Amino acid sequence: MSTDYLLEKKLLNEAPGLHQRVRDSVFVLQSMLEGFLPRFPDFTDHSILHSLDVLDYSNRLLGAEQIARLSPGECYVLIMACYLHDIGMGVNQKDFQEFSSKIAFGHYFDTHDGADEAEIIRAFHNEYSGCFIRKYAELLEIPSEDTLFPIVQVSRGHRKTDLFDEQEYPEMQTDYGVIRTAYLAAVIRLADEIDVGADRNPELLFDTSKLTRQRDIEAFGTHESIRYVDVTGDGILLHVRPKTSEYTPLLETLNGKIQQTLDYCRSVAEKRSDLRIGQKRSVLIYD
Amino acid sequence: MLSIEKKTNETELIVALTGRLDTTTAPELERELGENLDGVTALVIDMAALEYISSAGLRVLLSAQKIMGKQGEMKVTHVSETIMEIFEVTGFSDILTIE
Repeated sequence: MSTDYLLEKKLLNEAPGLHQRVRDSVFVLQSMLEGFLPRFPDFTDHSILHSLDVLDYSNRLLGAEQIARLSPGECYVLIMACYLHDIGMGVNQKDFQEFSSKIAFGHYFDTHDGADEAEIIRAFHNEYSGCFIRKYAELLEIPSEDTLFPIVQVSRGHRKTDLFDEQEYPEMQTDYGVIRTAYLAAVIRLADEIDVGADRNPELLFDTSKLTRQRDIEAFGTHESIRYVDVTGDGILLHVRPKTSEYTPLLETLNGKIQQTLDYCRSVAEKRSDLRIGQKRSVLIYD
Repeated sequence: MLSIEKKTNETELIVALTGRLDTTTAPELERELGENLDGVTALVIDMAALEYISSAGLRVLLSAQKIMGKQGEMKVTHVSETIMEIFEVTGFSDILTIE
């Protein structure tokens, strides 16, 4: 059975008012999500195209059975978080200053004393996303604190945050049904992690011949070496054809990272909810 | 399966799609557009014979729209009920110019 658009269709059928809010947001977000480009011109794609990928992977990872068990509120939160999780990459100067005064950087500056704005945002973009969503909730048509809090937390949760923290990631009872924030954050963390295929950076939009930094060349080259990502009921399959032999160890490292994230997210799902992430292994398949 | 038929009329390019635009066929459309958009000021994607479009297909349409936004305009035409439902459920009916 196709998993295409399952979350979106369920939301439309069960909560058309929330679905309309998503539609209104998508229209606005299309240009807002281009905001990362001036600061990160040579970075992998973080536009609405990436959001679409993460949403598609969420549908595929969940599958029809798990999606049927989600509440309309959970569909809404997950869809919005798919669109919003990287919005922090493109904060303007004023918002960068404002949000930086609210974010807990921990010991980051002890080891990154000379970090510039781009480096800081890259390291903490999930937190900037959380601040952005809270500030612009009305613009994004988010109807209430009951949906705003989970959208913020699930968006932040796509990287780094502790999904076992019950205060940060509670199970909530809302007007739109139960919202299991830890589970949703686990799904988006995994979906984001596996958006690594060649189509992540569309050939129509990216000219990789102009890259100069080794880090960017390797990142794009690694993506180019992954022909496509397949998601089955029990696994994640990366179909690869290394661009050159130098990319083989990078692909192995990437696959290891995906497996780590998968293991963590499965554990969150099992321990923090009655829902599941069915996939168990991430595998490289050399074409 | 996807077949792609192209017609040019000065700086207007009409691309008629037949079949399915999904993960397996989207790269083909992306390649065709990449090779033919230089100098185009009006891109028309004719969907009269398109049976289905997946998320991968939507991505290619959006990518093309981004390019055409800088050099002209893009619209999709003859959208079937099935395809229109997909545009509406994803919110893309508000982003694309549909005639």
